Amino acid sequence: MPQDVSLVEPAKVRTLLVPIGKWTRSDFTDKVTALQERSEARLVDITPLNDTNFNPQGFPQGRILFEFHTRQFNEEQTLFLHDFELYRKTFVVIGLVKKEDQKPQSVLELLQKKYPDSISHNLVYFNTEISQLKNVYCASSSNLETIVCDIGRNFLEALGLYYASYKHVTLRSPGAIGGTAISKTSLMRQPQVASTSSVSTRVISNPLDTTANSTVKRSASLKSLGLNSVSSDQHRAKARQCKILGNFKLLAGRYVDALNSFAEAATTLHKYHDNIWLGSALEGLVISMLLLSYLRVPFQVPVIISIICPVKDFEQSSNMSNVQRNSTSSGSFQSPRNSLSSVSSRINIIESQNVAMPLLIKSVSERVLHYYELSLSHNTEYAPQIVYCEHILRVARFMSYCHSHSQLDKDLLKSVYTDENPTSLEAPPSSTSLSQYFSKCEICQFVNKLFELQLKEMDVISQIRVYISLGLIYRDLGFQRKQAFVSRILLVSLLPRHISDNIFDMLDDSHHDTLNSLLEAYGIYKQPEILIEHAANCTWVTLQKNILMLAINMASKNGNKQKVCEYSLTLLQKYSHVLTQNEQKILLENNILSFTQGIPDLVYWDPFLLRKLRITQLENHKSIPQEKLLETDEVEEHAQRHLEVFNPFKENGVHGVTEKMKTCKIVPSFLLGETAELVLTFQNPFKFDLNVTHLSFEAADDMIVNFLSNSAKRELPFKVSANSLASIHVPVTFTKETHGKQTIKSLVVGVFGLKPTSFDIVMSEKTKGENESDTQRAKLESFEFRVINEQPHMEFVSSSFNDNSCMMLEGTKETFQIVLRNQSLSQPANYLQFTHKTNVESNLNPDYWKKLGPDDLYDIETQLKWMQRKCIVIRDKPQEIPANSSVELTVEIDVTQASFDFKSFEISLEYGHKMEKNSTSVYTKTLVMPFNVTLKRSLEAPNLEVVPLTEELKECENSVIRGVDKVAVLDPNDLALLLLDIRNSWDANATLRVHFNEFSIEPETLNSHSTKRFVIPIKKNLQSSDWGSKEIPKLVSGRQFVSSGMTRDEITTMRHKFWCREMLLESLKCEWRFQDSRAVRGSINFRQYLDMIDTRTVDILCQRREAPYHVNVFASKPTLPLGDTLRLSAQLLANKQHPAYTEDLVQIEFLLYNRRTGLALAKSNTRLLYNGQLTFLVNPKNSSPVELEITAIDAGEYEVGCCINSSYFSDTPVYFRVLRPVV
Amino acid sequence: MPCYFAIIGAKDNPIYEAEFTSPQLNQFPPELKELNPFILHASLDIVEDLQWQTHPQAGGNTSTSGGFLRSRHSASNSNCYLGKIDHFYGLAITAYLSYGNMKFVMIHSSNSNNGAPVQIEDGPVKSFYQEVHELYVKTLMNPFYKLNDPITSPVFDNRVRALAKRYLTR
Repeated sequence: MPQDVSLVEPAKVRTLLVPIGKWTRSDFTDKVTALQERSEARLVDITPLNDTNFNPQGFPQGRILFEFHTRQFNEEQTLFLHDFELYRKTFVVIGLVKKEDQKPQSVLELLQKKYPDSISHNLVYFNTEISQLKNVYCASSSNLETIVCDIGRNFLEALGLYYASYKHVTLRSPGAIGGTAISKTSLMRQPQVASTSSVSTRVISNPLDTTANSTVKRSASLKSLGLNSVSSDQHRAKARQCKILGNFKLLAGRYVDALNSFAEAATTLHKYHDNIWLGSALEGLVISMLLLSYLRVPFQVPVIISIICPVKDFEQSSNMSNVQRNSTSSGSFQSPRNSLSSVSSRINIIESQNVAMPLLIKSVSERVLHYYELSLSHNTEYAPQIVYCEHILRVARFMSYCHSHSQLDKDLLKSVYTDENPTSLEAPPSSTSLSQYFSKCEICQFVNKLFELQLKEMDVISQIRVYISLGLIYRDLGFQRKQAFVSRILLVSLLPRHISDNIFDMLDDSHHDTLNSLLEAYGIYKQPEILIEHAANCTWVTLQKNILMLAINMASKNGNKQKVCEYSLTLLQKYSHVLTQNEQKILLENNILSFTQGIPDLVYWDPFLLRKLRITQLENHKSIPQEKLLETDEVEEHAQRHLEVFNPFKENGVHGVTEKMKTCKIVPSFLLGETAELVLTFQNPFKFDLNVTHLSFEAADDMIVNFLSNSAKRELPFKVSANSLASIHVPVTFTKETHGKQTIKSLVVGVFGLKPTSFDIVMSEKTKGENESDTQRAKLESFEFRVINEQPHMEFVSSSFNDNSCMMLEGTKETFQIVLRNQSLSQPANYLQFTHKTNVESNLNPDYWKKLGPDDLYDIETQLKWMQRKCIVIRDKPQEIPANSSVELTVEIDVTQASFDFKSFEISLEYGHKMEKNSTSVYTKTLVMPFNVTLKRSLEAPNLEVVPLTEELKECENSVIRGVDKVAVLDPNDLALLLLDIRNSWDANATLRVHFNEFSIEPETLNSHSTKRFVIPIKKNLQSSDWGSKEIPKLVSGRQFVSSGMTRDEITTMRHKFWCREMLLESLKCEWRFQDSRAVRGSINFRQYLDMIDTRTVDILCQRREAPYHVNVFASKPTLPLGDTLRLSAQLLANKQHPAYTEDLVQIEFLLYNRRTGLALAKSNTRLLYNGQLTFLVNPKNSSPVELEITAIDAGEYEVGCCINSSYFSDTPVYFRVLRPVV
Repeated sequence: MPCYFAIIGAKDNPIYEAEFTSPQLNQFPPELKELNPFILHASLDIVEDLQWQTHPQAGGNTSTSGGFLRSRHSASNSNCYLGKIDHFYGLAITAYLSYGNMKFVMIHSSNSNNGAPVQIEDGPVKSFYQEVHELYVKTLMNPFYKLNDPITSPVFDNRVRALAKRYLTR
């Protein structure tokens, strides 16, 4: 590649390879590489020549280094340099011939005619036998090296002739030849005219410069003032000739001669301050020395070198004696007054072995640059910029070569090193290693000199050359960023120019690589849309945007529309957040959409376009059947119910939450042929409007669901405005029944008329750290649905009620009819489930049971249970309702035990079509039929009371009891009286009959809006012994245990009350019939009217007081006249089974009260007289009653009670009345 | 003199960018404004090279005693300052390296546009870097700030600009 520069380039012979005949490109490049591999011709292999100057035998170790090119460039522009830097000329032309009919001689002549500037023309025939001619060779695979040597000989011959023509020419500097066309080196800093000022700037900008340099410079500038004579011109011309000879020798491979020529030329030129030629000669000197040390030929470092730069800079540090000796010598020539001759005489000869070649080269090259800079003040004798630049590049390249290699090897001669640099990785730098000489930074510092130049002012090709070489140096150093930076500068500088196609051809191969590597270096090819790591990293977007813009401009300039599109897409896709609206629009319209025809497989670039997909039922449509599993769930429930341990977390615990989530996900079902609405949400992150131009389902989904005819077309193109989410609604229809779930995961969408592609439904972005193992960029979503066949459809036609409402009297029953119709024309409903629900149930709180006591709960739940089971009964349920037919059902409403709140109920029918008899699931729909009920009060029982039946009452003349036969038989002690009030709230008179167990009262008539009291004798002393321990039953099991907070006694009391009430409710019945035309019958539900009974009632009904002692008090007579004596007796009854019973004496105390006021009489009062005391001690075993005689001294009514041990009281008090004697 | 300053994270991502100009002095010309990040980015190569040198041979770090790696043994953070590491035409680039591998890099431009190289006064520049480093460490201690994220705090920005006014743009 001609763009690269290497230090030994001036020693290489430029050779042009020209294809002649019929070649394929690959064939030709193969041959070119084959030749490039054998580019060295050893002088020892070349047949000797007569020419003294270029006889190969003069230096058999030397080589001719060919540099094979297939292109010739810039030849015209560098023409002015051919005299100055000889190697720039293309010396040799080789025609590679294949399948050519013309005679070799004529071909050769043609070649000479076409390339007249070259001095040696050769032909190499491939695959053809041809008679040997001068400069014509036949190549086989083995003799290529020989041919190269022969070509080398031809070249040497021609070189001899060419040199002869140079001998008498006055050599002029490039500036003098080219005139103004040549770009002068333009330094940013002040060129070194006045040396003192320049020294100071340099010291600051580059601290590596030694102060020793300044003295030398000053001496040089002092001398330049004095010397200006005619003879100096002659000397100068001679020296220039000498330098050119050195160049020729260098090309011819005679390096020792070249070294000497250059040294001689340099000495003279130094003397006469021909700075530009001096620089060039020194460069030649350096190259000769380098090549000599590469060939391991020992030589002496020319004196001129130690004159112009301090020896200690490059001397081998290991050699101590040398250091000392040289330090003295360098000290000696530091004096500005030293003349050249005196210096040279004192300077010792330095052998090449004692010199660190890299350091030598660097310090000499710095001098070279210095001399080039000095030349800039001159009008014609100045260094062209290209010379200056390439020198820097060559030396920098050598430095980087040193950095990566341990010793001089074959790579040195190559223009491009292999990528892997072996030493930096493997061998540790030894003392002899080249890599120790220069650090990366030093090389960079050196290269940075280029940035003091106005590179912009050079011609394009030179610029390309400079920048690419610079890039290569950075690449060798491993400075990717620097390399990228240089590539960018190059591209930017190329951008505004009108570059000929030729240059682009040249660039084309490497150009896109350059662009691509540039993009990669700035991290543009990361994929945040695919890899989560890339998305998490932030990068330098300013740079990336800039580079991409550059790439787009470059590609569009190049006319590569595909690349323009590609880069624009990358920019738009990844950097939309840093682009302005205008930029985005331009990118889209000019760079992407306009090229769509050229790139058929271009698709929309945002992979997260589709954000949501739903299919929703149209609202006005019929309800959709839900799938119901038959029988299976019952088993599960069964198993759960038998869990013995109550698990409070079962219902809504931690475990339950996840389960609920699972069950919550309902897969929507659609009917075949149904029309539904597809809702799609698109995102548009860009700052321009998005046009959705195509929508279709994936092939698999398309079979099942489809857009309603033309609906998609009508909605499209759909516009998603900038930076927004937008939803589109499209009607769809279902065309095929699915077996199981159908899942839509993606949709085919086309945007901007680009080729439609499938887009996944993206729910949300994932960010790094959520799930380390997951590398997917987004959470995807899918939409599941079912399509089912047509189902039966039931309708509620009519009922025998007006307006579906009825009015009922409490305690009655009613029957009515409803008519249902199956509207479906084909599907019979053969799965029918009737259920009903009243408002009482639906208004119930789910935790209604929590705050109720067990007795209340039992009450409520009994009623609920009844409501559920008995209240509404549907007779003659059909097994199947055939298609397109009606059915009449009879419904019974029983409100005998219904709650007062009962206001409405609904009958719901769950129906569906079972495909087979034993299919496990069925799609069901529910038909709900609501009814309203108004309950009117009929007969009520506002009050119920139990009173003990006292002897008196029984013996009363007109006692109700008397008339009853059965009662008379019974012992009055076993009886109590039940007082029951019944009220008729209805408008008609009623006949009613009350029952208590087998006892029943004769039918009675109860007038409308009146109340009657019924007295019913009932048995007391019921079997109540186990009531206290018998639990109140629970109708619903499996509930959480809630502590009632009651003490044990309270619980026992509650149980007594409960069972007592249950007994009453069980026994008490009442039927009634209205005496009107309808003769409505009914019964009273006492449970609703009868409150919790009080303790007293319990006490009356069951003599069950849990006490060790009972006492009964008797009075001898109920009335007595004033002053008479009354005998009170108290009978103690001991319950010997009671645990508290003892045989100790018990204390019985009579208590006297005024019955009117209810106040106790004082122990001594003026109304009743008694003897001594009211308290007696009695032996419980003794059954004889305790007696007390009282004399009444004041009229009134009195009550006598009795108490044992101040804690047990008599059950029934005794009343007596003291009458005033009638006067 | 106008300066362009940036803090660069471990993955070449800018964490903070600022341009220090003063109204009475020259601003960056627009074409350079665009180029600044590139120049800075390119010089990161040199920072990374210097980072591992025990005896830096090049660079204008005249005041620092040794390489960045040496700083392990010294208590002060003076070795973090790498000095002038690069230049591009008239621009000089200085760098400072934190122990957490945050690169503080700055482009100094000369006042005059004649292309003369900028003179870097190490003292104030170093102080500037050290104080910005301190600010950065404070930012790092914020529990809501994640390493390598861009610093968006206006307080940080104000303080850095105040420092720049004090040390750089005079």
